[in-house]
Amino acid sequence: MGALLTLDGVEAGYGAMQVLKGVSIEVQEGEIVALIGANGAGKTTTLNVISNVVPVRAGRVRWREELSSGGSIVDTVRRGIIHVPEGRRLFADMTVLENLEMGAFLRHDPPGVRSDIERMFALFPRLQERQEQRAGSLSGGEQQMLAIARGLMAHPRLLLLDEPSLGLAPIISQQIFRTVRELNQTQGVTVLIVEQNAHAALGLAHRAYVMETGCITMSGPAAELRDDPRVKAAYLGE
Amino acid sequence: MPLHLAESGWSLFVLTLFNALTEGSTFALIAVGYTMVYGIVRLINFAHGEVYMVGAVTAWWLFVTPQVPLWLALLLAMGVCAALGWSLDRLAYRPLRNSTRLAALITAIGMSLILQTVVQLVISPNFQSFPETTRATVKDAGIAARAAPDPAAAEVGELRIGAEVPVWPGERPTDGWVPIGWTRAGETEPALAWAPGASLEVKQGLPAAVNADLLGGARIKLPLKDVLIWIAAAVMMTGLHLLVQRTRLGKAMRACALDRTTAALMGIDVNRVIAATFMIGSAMAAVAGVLYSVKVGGNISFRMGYYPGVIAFAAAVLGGIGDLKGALLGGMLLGFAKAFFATYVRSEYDFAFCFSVMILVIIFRPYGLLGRPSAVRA
Repeated sequence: MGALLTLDGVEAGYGAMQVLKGVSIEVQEGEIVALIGANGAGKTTTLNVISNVVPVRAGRVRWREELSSGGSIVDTVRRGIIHVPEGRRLFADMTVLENLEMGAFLRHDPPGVRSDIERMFALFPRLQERQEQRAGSLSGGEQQMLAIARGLMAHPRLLLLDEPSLGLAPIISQQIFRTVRELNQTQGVTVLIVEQNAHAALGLAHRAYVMETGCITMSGPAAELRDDPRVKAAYLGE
Repeated sequence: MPLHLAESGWSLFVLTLFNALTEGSTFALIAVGYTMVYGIVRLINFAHGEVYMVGAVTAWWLFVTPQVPLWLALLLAMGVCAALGWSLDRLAYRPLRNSTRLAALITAIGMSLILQTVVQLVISPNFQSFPETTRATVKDAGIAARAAPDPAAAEVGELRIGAEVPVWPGERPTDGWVPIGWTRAGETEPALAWAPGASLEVKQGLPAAVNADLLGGARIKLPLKDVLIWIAAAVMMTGLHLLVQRTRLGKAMRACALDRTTAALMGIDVNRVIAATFMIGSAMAAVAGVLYSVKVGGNISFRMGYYPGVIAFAAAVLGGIGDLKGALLGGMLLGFAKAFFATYVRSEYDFAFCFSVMILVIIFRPYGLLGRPSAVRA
């Protein structure tokens, strides 16, 4: 069986700036794949291309062997590609509960949505306490939990996580990573995670890609990359 | 013409209060269209005043020509304006969604001019008026029954007692000297004639006033057409509030207003939400246009949307653009400012006064009364 998601020589950018210069990656069903690299390497743009937020200029993105680049954002959501964007991007003036409802926007099974909301509250009890509060009033860690929970409400087949630990205290980040692993193990959610915290990402993922200025420079099982001297020097500060 | 308090007193004050509520309701109904569209698309839809105008013109035409009942004319005008709002977005604004805001703004001004010109060509550049009614029954045909006013008239059978005749727009029939219909030879539709001595029983579209009991037992005459506008504004604003807060579409609208890209990442079809926003705002402008024109009676022309449109825009900015309650507050504030300034200071400068109020508020509260600095990118 082919890969769940394939990027094939993808080029993309903003205006005159070319950000991705031929990116090829693959994600298999059931995997956690990490994309690590320095600021500005193109990690976020890669996720934006997958969810059709940014159009491809060359190359293509395939979902289960079918072309998915060139369509709309909503098309990718319909396929089950759920993008939890960098900086959470919650609907700050809407309540926690409403944010979760928005995550289930395309679902038409209100009882199922309600029971999923209960499931999210079991997973993140803090959200239950604050369900009637404005999302903007939550702490950074709570916001990240809500962003992930909102993504899960759509029953993702592939969860794109962009910098979930950004700006969070180490203990909160660990909790987030632990949750991602649980979701992967217990519910089989496939995850493509972009992280600056290479150490944590390589500890979480099965496989990883290293990205530098718009190109993939290394790839392999996460455990191997963690021991690679170049990765150690550049990203793990060892 | 300026009036003086000494001559008028209490009743003038009450009349001004009614006017203020009516103007305020009208401005608020138009302002929500500006504010909803701005909230989501960050576009000032300068053609929105023309949507108000098209609503009034459509209902006027339906009422006068095919003579549909007023309530039906209102509903159809709402439908026409919703379709117009959808078309404006689809044809003019959506292709420019990712271009500069200035391009969309200039396009909006262009659409405004196009709509004015089209209406001018279709209904003539003259002022039209909303008649009280379009039919009347002849009670006494007067001399018209004995001698046709026009020698070319072959028969005056239309003027027999009990016949129903058309009453022309803008003519208020009075006993003794009434404009009524008569039939020319070879034509089936009666034409206008003056018939001295005739009297008509006019079918009133709406009674002019209703009595209401106030607290304390005092009775007050409420102008019915004004009351209709107040009720329409209250019902529609409440309905819109519930729609935005409670329904799936409303939540999608709020999500799009907060962050369009992320809304799309939830699976929300942003273009459809924007189209729905244009349609709802336009239908509300139609209600304002129709009911206000029915109240005023006249003043229906291709230019009628300009001032209400501009004032409602000022109301939306004043209340905090993007905020529905702000549109209501801003509309009411400017309605009161306009009505009271016109009555007690100078009616010539009422619009100028409205703008002065807006400018003053904006100096001290740049985001409007209820607006907040937006965290969302402009």
